[in-house]
Amino acid sequence: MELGEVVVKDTEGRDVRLGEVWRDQPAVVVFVRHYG
Amino acid sequence: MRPHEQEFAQGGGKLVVVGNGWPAMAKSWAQHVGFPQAVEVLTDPSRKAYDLAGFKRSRVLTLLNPRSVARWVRALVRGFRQGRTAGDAWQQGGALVVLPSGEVSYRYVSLGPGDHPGPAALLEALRKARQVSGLR
Repeated sequence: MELGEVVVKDTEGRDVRLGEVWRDQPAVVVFVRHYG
Repeated sequence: MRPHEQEFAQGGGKLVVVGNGWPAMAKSWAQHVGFPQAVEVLTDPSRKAYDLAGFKRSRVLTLLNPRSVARWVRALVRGFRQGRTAGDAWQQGGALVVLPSGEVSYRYVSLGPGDHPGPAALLEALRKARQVSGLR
């Protein structure tokens, strides 16, 4: 599986295919350890 | 990272923050931090994206990394306080710059709490990514 195929959630619980976030322009994607 | 959002936009990139708790946790945290709307906050409860990106999950890195302890003390001295943990406490983070082609042009794998690239490093990675890929 490619990273862009992973389906994550937005803050409202909607599915977002990760590849969508860099489809139109480069994305800086910061993965945090946890919230808090 | 929040005060630098405009710089990422001016640099021709989008800033996305991914966590690993439930959406309600992500929403509460995003409101607490005060991210502008242009910053997309997402969550990956399965941590599948973390795994595919090569980010680590380790109790040792979280608790017993001397550098992390030093960073924690430095943060305390500077007045930063960590809130209640929401999400996977052992998961480490990292950062990527990903091009529209899906190519990962920059990857930083965090080796413990407080180990993350600063905004300047990410902006430089974004600039190089655009240059290498011929984007203007």
